[in-house]
Amino acid sequence: MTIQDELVGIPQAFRDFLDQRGLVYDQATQVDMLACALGSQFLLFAGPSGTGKSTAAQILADFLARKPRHLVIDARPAWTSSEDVVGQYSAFAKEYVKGPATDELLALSGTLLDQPPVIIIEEANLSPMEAYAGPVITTSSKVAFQQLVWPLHRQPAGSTPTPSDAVLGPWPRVFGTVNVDSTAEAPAPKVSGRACVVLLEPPTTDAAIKSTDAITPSPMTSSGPPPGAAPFRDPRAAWSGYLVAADTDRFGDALRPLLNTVAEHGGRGLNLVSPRDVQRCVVFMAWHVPLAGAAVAGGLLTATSDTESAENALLHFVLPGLSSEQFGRVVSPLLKAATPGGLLARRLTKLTAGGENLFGVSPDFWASLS
Amino acid sequence: MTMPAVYIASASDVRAAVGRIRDRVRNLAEPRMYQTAVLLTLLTRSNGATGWQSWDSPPPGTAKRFGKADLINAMWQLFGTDTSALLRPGSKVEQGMDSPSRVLVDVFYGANNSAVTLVRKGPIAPHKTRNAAKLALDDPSWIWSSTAAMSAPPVVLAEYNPVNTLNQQNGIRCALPATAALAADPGDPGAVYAVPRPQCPNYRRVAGDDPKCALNSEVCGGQGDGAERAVTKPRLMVPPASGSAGHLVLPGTIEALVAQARRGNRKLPIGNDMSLLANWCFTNGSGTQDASRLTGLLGADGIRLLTSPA
Repeated sequence: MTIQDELVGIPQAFRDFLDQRGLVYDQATQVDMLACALGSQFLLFAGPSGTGKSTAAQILADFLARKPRHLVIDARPAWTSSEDVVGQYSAFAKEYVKGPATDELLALSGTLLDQPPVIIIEEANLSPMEAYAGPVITTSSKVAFQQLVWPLHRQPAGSTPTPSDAVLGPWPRVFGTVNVDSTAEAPAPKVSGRACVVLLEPPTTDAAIKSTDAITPSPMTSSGPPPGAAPFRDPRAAWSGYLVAADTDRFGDALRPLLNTVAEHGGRGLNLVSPRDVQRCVVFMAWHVPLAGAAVAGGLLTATSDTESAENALLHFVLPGLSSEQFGRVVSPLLKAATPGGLLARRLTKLTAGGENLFGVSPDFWASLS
Repeated sequence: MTMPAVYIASASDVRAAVGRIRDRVRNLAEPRMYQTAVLLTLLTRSNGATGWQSWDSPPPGTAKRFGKADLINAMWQLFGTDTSALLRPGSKVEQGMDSPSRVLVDVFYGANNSAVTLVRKGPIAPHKTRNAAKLALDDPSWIWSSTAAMSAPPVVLAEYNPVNTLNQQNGIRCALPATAALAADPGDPGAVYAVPRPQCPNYRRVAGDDPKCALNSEVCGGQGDGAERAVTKPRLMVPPASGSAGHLVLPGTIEALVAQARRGNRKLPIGNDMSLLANWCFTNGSGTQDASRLTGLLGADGIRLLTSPA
């Protein structure tokens, strides 16, 4: 065979990568996380403390992109504007006063421009993202973007050596970690509506014990490209592959019953699912379907289906955007319709379990996490 | 089933894709109509030509002026590449073309001929008009060839003169402005253009000469030798208003051109083959391939209309 399907080896490579570092996620979650990172450019990792949000963001970045293309920003409380992150030009001092991420952003925008950069924002919801990371939120309204332009100042050329913009590309990713609790609110709808929300569960006891391997991870001496670098590019690449093979109807066919369930129970006539949501869903599915297929072929998963991919897409792109009333209405019928043992069923079970015991059905996706 | 979302391709894969595309195009009823459909799709999508999107909406008031040069530019966008992506370094054809840095492989052109056309920008010195070479798929100059270069046949040079289907004489252009069609039939302007040229009220037969259009006095549906054509091309490219230099691409144009090209339900080129060639050219034959180049150029609708699954 002269054309090599590079995705075939990716799930196994990711599993090996995790094993070398003593990290444990169940196989379905591994495939799901990969599809999220390949098919979306703005990810929010959500879940209670201890579920491995930061670890997941970092390990995906390590698997997909070289270290020099990583940038970690630790969000702080009370950030209210982009200037809090990247600084601003001081007319008083007549110079650019840098912020905590200015140098790193400029470094990302000036080197290795053929490799996608990854920005990780830790504790992203300590301040409103739409305020301090406005360029990310605005740009993420597109299903895919080749560049992320982060404005630094609007001074005339020559007035400061700092460039007017940090231009990040190609196909940059932004991974945020979100811990919804009493000190940090859930992301605003305009933020979660543009993100792929990856919900992580607390590990099982066995997985937690296995994770002790992470105390002494293997030394990472490989100088080659990361194992997942090849497909880490335009998130629409997989969708395009299905398009030229005239095989995209399958995604709509798998999504339709789920979207109908949401519409019927959440309230018909309301803007429950936007065209953008659907576009994000199918772009994600175009990665998830072949990755899950590769995992099955490699013996990592026992079975997969387009329906399960659609369920995962719903979890990432549709449920986080529902209002509390809509979420309360759809969660039960969706749970009944979901594939038993699948990611959607498991996550919905967790989301509803705590609330039902104490306060009735949890008020919405995000409140269910707190 | 998994799809190669991203994949490594070899030169022999490209050769196979080119061969299959040529076979499919050769079997079409009118290959030039197919090529025109591909290029108009690309031009309207990239704002190189103005499309009238639907008969239900009024036509755009202005339209871009475009012609053969724009079609050739669109071909370069599709299949233009570094010479090294297609020809062996120092090969006979590369030298015969005066070592251009970039070439265009036109897999649609001259489909009835076994030779594929490679084009460079500008004439090949010392010729004034010849800017292309024609070579068979098994020519030793191709990057995929394993044949010894010693056995290379002589280089055949030619002038690249691709599809000329935009004219009024034997192409898809029509002089009737969109505003006039709308005035004639406000409920269904498409029906006005659906009338074959010989039945058009502006069609004038001229004794001893080609038929002409009463609106602009240009030949319409003529053979160029003083006779009218029995079968004329559909009217698909029209000025938005009287006196406009630009032309609108009418609603349904791509569908009409494809239908014309594949009369008898002939198969179109395979999407994966077109995608591989387009991306190979875009990446200059190196690195990982994917399908995003072709889908970006033609769009989802374009892919569905212009390619076959297999």
